[in-house]
Amino acid sequence: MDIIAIYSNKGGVGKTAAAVNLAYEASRSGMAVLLCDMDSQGAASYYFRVRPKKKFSDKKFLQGDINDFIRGTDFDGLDLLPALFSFRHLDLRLDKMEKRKNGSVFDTVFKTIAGEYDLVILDCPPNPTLLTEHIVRTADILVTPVIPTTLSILALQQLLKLTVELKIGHRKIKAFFSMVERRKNLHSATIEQYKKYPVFMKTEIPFLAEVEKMGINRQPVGAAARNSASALAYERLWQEIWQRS
Amino acid sequence: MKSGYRTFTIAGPEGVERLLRKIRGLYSLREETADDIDEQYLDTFDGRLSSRRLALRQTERRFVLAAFSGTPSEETEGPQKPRIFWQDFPEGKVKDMLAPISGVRALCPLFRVVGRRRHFRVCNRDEKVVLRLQLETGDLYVGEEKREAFAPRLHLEGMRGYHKQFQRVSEVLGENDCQNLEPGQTPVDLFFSQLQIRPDENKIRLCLGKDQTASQAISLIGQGLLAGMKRNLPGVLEDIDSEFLHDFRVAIRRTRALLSQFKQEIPPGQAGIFQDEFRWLGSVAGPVRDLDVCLQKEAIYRGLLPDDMHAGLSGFMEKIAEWRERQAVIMRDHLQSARAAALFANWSDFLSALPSKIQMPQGQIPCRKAARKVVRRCFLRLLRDARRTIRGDMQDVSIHKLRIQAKKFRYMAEFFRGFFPAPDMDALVSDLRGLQDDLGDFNDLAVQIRRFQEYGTALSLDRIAGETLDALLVRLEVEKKRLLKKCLKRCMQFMKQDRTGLF
Repeated sequence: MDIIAIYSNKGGVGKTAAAVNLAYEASRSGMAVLLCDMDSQGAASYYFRVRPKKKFSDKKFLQGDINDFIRGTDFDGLDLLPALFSFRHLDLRLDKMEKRKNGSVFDTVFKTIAGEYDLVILDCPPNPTLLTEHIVRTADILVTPVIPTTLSILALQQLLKLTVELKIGHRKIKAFFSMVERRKNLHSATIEQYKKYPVFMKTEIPFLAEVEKMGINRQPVGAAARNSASALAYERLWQEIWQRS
Repeated sequence: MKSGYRTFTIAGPEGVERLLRKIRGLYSLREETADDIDEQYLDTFDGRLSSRRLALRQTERRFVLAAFSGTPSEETEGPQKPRIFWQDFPEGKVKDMLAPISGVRALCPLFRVVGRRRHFRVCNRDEKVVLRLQLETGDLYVGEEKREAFAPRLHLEGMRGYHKQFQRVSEVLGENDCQNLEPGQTPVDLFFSQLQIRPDENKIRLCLGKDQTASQAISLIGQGLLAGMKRNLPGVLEDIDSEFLHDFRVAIRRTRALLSQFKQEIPPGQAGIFQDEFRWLGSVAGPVRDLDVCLQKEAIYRGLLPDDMHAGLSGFMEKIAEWRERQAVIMRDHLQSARAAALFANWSDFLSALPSKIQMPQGQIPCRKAARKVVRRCFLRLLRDARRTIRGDMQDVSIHKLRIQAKKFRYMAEFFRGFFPAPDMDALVSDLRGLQDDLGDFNDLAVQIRRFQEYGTALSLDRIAGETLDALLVRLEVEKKRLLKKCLKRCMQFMKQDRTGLF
């Protein structure tokens, strides 16, 4: 079972859209996929119309007691572990656990479902926190969306720095340009400047209304409009990430 | 992911709409799509797939081979022919799975399901799918004949994390006279039971009671064997596959064994007449069977010959196939003759009347006693022939006799297996099966060599085919010697254990 974390310490870069659409595309390719919504906003859960069960808690999540709380989405081969608002306290809980134990807590969390899924995709909250460190340690692949702007590039640099600090190397980071508007000079110039770095995928995700409409349709773009430009872009992105991993 | 699958049958089409209304009262129910069902189920005549709980479904050129439960399943494209053999499928899993199961048997249409499948989704207040439903309605056809409508069935497919909704809808169905399938029962089972198709219906099921007389037992066994002949005869005449003829001949052989072993229990003169007639019936079917065996062994012959002789072998086999066709015409004429029809009718009448022929005192003894005597006699003869084979000089001949005796014993042991301790009898039959397999292989080869010598003279073979046949005969003689040694070894192993106390 591989774990892909969709992470950026900058907000609003298209993490959840990427997590939802990549999970959907992976499941379409025949994989058994679990999307784990770790952002207390619960946007991924909202997109899939999934509400968490009442008995679910952040404590249970960290104990690996997740089996009974996973729910099927409307799509074959794709399940979701919905987020809780209390996930905002995950850092605090992790801090207490950290004193007892080193290493990543997620190794235990996903142990119970290892035989069931081929792939787990983590939709991570922004901000560099203790939770981030655990995710970075656990994930086999770190997919990070980068809007071709200065601040977003800065966020990528911080992530690269973090991987150096944690001594895990850059190779697991797969960055891609997100919400690209080629008509903007800044976007084009930034892409031209940085696309040569191997950390970047070739596939770009354009800024399109279809992605924004996910909030209305409440389904992945590929399910709402299979042949739309954004659906095809996410399909290509998934294939590239998987091939280069 | 799916979590839970349940199938309910609904009483009558009017019940369907009522149920859908009930579900609509609880959840949002939306019909997604609908498609036509037109599936032909195929199996061998002796139910080799269904006895393994496998179903082969055909929709035009698409074939699905699946467990009755639905999974695992494999799909492939295939031919559209009235009868299909595993060799007709393209390379792949379906072909690989079918080969060892169907063997030489044709896959023939069993029944056809024609109807409509409607797909529904059950959603919660967020319009999230919490359950999927499939409603199937339609009719069953056997051949072109429409038999009856099958009870509408509703498949519930649960979604992970939404068990409550799955349970709730199941309860509603239960409360409204819908029948949940019994544990282990599948939707395919429902088709089979509605059409009264039993995978093992070709096997003779004997229920001999210890109070029955010998005449009653002969009558019962004879009628079972006659039914076997009649069941296979249409397949022989249509030439569907070679096993129809094989099973037809086995039923004749068993009948002849029954007649020869129970001479004293049958009115004088009658046994001889029927013996002669069944011998004739067996003999008219013999040549085609020998040629079938020869054709089935082509791959083995190919393996015995060098590559440069394969073309010659193909030519020879083509001649054999042509000859088989000619022989089959002659055989069909005999099997459809007045003589054959009279034999079946007279034998049937005779068997029906046999239990009431009280003037035959031997026929009135308990069948258990008669069976013990016959089985013991056959077993002792089997041992005698086995001893002769081991120490004899004319081993070809004695092996042939031993094979016949082993068959007779096996037939009798199977007819009357209920009168002997099951574990001992099973162990004996199992050992005997091994011996019979070796004896059968040896005999097949001896017959083939004899037939090939005859064919070589009778068929006008070209030089290449003739040379191939000569080379093949040399190889087969070598193989025969190897099999002879194997038979003798097996014979000695069989004789090691003293089992005379069993009878």
